[in-house]
Amino acid sequence: MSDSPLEFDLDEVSPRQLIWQRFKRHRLAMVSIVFLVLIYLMAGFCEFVTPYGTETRNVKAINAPPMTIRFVDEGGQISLRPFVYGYDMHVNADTWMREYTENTNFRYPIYFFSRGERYRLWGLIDTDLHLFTTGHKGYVHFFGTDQLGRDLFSRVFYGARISLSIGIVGVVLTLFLGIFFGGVAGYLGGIVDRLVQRIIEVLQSLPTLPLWMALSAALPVAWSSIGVYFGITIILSLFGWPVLARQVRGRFLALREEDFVISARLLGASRMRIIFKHMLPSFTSHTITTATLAIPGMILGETALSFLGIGLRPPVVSWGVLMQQAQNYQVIVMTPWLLIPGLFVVLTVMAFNFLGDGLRDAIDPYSANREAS
Amino acid sequence: MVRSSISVITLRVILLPVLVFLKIAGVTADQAVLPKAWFEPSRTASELGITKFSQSPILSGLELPSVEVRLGKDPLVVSPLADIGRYGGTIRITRNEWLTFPNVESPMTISADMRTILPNLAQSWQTSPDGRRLTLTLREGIKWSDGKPLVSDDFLFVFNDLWLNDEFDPIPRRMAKGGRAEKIDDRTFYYEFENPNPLMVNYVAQYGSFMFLPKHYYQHFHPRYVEKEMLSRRIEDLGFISWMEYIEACRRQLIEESVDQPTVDAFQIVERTPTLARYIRNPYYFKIDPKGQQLPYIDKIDQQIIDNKEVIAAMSATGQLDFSAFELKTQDIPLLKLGEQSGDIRVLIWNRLHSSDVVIQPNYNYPDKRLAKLYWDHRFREALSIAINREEMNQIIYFGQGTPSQMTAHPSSAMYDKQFASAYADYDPARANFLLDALGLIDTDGDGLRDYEDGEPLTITLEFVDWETPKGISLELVSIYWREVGIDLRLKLVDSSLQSERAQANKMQMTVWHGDKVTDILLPISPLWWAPIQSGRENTLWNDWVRWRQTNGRLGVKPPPIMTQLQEWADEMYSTIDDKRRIELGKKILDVGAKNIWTIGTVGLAPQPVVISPKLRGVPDNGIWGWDNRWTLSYHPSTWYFE
Amino acid sequence: MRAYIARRIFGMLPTLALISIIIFVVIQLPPGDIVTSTLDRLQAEGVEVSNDQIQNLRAQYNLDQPMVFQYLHWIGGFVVGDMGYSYLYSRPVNELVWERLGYTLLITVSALIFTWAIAIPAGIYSAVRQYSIGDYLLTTVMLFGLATPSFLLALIVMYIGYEWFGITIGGLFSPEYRDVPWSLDRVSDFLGHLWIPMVVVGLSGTASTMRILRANLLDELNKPYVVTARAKGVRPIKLLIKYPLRIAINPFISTIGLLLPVLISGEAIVSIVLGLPTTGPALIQALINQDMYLAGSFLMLLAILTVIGMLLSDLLLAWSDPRIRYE
Repeated sequence: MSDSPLEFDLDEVSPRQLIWQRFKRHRLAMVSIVFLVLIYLMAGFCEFVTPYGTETRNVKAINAPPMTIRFVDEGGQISLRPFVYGYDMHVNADTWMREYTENTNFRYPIYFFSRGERYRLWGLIDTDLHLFTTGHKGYVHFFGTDQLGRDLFSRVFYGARISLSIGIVGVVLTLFLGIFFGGVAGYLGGIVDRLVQRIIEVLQSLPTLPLWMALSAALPVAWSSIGVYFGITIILSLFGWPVLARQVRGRFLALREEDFVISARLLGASRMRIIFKHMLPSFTSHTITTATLAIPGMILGETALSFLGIGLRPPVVSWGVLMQQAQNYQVIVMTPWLLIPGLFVVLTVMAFNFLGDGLRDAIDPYSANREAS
Repeated sequence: MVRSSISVITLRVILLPVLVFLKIAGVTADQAVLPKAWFEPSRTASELGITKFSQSPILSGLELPSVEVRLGKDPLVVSPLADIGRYGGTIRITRNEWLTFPNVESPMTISADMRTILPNLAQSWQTSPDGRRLTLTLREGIKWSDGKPLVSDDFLFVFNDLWLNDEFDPIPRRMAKGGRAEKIDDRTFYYEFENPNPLMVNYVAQYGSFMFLPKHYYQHFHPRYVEKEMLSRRIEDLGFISWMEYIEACRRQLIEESVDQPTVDAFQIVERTPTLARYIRNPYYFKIDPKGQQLPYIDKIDQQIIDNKEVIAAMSATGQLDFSAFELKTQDIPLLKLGEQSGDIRVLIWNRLHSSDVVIQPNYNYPDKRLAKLYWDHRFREALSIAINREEMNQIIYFGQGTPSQMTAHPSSAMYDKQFASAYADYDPARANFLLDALGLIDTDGDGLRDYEDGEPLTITLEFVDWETPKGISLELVSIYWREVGIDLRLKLVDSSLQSERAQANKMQMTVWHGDKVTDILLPISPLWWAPIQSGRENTLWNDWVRWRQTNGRLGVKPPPIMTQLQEWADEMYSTIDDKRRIELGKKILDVGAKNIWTIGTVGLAPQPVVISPKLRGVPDNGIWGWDNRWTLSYHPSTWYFE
Repeated sequence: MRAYIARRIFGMLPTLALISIIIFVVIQLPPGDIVTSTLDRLQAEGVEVSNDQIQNLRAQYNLDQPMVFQYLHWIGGFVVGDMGYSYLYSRPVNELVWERLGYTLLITVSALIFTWAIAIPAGIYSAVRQYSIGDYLLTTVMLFGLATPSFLLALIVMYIGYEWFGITIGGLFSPEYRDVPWSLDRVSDFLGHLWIPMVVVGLSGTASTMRILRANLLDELNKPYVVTARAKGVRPIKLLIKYPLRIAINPFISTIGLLLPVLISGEAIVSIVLGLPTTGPALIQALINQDMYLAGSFLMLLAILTVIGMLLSDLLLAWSDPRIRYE
């Protein structure tokens, strides 16, 4: 349109590249995305990443503190291969404490890509290859062990698989419900709009916790772990959609009057076609941002339900389940490493928030940072 | 004193040296330091020649009759653990200890040996030769905290006017079924039953504190004594919906109005708010120490109401409570011991009386016939039992201080046999796998868990309430052990009321409860773990067989011969007046139980932390903790005092 | 304006009716009913319960009536101010609610004030110094509050409160101040305990509040009138407070009502962890035990408060922005 060189240069940059340029400026978002990719990868391959299964017990290390990874041994010798010292456990007859001291006679080198417990990756591939183990003797517990002597490091990543996927699955469900109701209300208007508005109003007037509680208590007792998992996910998303629906509705109302929608209508396009072909794509970016910011709510919701004893339950390992078992005064005073799963929850939730912020800044630079909720 | 002709249990124990029991028990030699008097009927002031009485300083100056008048004719003398105590102090506890700390009084009480019944409010009792009638004679001069005498009518009121009232108890309780209470005079009355009920005396010893109420107070809220319209107006004014609700709430000290009711216990409630209950010493309490000082030594109780058990554990560890035990578990001991180092608390390690902290109960009458049939196969039960590594459980959960055991009688019981405790209790996963293979339970779909022969997955859902003993952590371990032999056990934590409902409705595949009712007082009247005689929230093994028995075959399912045999034995054990025969029958029942593994036990006789203030004296260092001996009752908390 | 108010109030009624039905259904959803709790209580005293006679008990509690009748019975009483009777606590619900609601509102309101006291200055700072180290730091700290599950935070703060400040665990008063008449000492003891739930409940909301304010403020700060005023030499602080801040705070007004249910959920969990005598734990107990009148009336009351809150904020908005009235 214009011959100005500046405009010409801009034409060379696709919108996607532009977004990426802007996104890169948000440092915390960049760090977050690296963190999230990493943790999702580790959760995805948790059988391989962790040295032990979720139920492997080490009776010699019950409630044992995290082990120190060493490169230098007692005698000051430097070893390129990291190693840990084994624990001597001693139950103190006076304090009833299990006291652990490192025994320098037992030195367990850490081997990478080594053989350990057998497992089935994703229930398909039968193997015993792990990212690291101490071979066939000794044991390594980076995050210490829990009250049954199970390796917390392993459990944290198995838990990550459940908790992180609940976030994703839940958000997809929420998005579906939100876009459906919001879109229908916004596009059709009239009675449908008023009905949806009312439902939203009702759902927002009630504290979610009691509703979650009642619904989870209503889940059939005999359901399998998978059933409960999806049950909980659905419950979490049932109360998450109104926020999104309101945003979508607002967008639809605005878009309905936009030129391109009106011309599509005049050209005789069907409603469905208008909604899916023309209107939805125009706010994909916005939806992605909202979804990113909704995932942490799901993750936190899962931990809250577990805390109340109505969420997931053993043998399923999730961050909520791990935190529920660490939810007492004794843990803070005596075995604080059992709070590590909590740290992962905090970091992940923060990362998603930073990522959401960064995305919004990048995608939507003009309505700068506006929170639509 | 008139001694009962049939309380042979009592006589036997007096003849047997206490130490023999301690040796059998192998639980705690420290019990030898308990005062001998705690194992014998308490003596009275006149028997000991006590003539001078005194009272707590907080009572002087109040408008009360003199202490001699209040104590009555011949007060009961209770020896403290070691030294004579001193008056004073307020003890801080939580509401959860409301039955474990305040000295709750019954007509009879249970000795520290957990097998002897001792006189208390009643000075004597007599069971008729046919076993149908139990006559009680109350001690003379015992008064309610308002000064009114304790009389036979107070007992008759509960039995006839409440328990047999179909508005108050639409469901007649087992204790009252087919019975009635009659008065002979103000201090003498009897319970009479259609069928022989010679062990009614055990019921009175265990549940006696629920068996009487101050009639002169409660009759104002009962339709038999108040005109209907006036009663409903009175109840409505108080904000209640029925007189039954009011009496229940008042009796259980749930409401502000509870402070109006008199008591014979050591403490009377004087304030009740949603967050707090306060008690003060009962000026008419009928017990004294050997120096003639009226008990209790402690003047007041402050009960805080805290719903969260973890908060209670934290409060116990940080010295905010002077007595705490009910909500504490074995795993809390290190935290408590750490708190002990600060000098704010003392941590005593008592012993829980549960033969097994967790009693795993398959539901033999579960509607899914395939699962029920599997349960009924001895090989399956054996496999489940020996797949559990009890020694490892003992190390992990109990610091190696518990006793791996099946569910059987307590070592203090005359029916105890070591063989019963160790039957099928040794860890043997290889044999468990062999047995399960032999049953045709093979993993057909390759998920590592066994399936039925036709390929349908075998899963067992276990519902449980996490109460009193460490059930959650134990079951998590059990589920791991079972998965290691290919059995898919799913755990579901439920609320206790839901457990009641699902137990009644026979909906549970498997459940657990803690293994109490194991001493000579309770086992003979309810051997519920080994014979289908009753069912409820704690026992869900065989509802249909129990119902068959209760309805004489009208409802339920006819039990198999072995169960009929056990029911007959249990009936005879309950109704025989021959003590030797009773023990013999009890052993038979336990023997069949041990051979058949009706239930699966884990670890029992486990350490129970009891936290007390370092200033609190008179508490035994080593006691036995549980429902069967009413927690602290045989250690006389009224003699505990602050230094 | 009057017509608008009337229309809004009238419009609340169907919403509330719908809410009451949802509450009723949701409470009935889980298996079991209040009779099961009664059975439980009887069994604890050694009463043997037989299945055949449970119906008797159900009839006593009107549970054998059709659902619709039970619903009408409850809501009919509620409308005239009788919230029914709690079988769980054996007392009228009205009594239970009032003695607990005070503490709940106190914690909730103080948490709300705490949230604003922290979030508004932080939001202003972050907007004015966008992308500075302070901006990042504040955002991170606030997000930390949002990201920590409140039960974990409550536990940690409880521990810190005890270890560092000697604040007793459990309850809202030290033992010596429980159930004594109000005095200056008692008030200060109470405040000493109040800050723990206040901080924990409040922290979860600071991050989003601050973020919204920051974004709104940034929008305003880039507008021509601000640029002009700045160019004309109006003092920055005065300028900020006089115009952009006032406009940026507007959206808060519309969300006050919606905050209540969120804070109540948070308060319930925190009170359970800390053992506080507020509505939260009682509500959860009532839900678990299916104490219909207590749980239902509680939730209904909260819903009404929320709806009124939303109405008030709408009215406030309408009053400040006449266009809304005629929409």
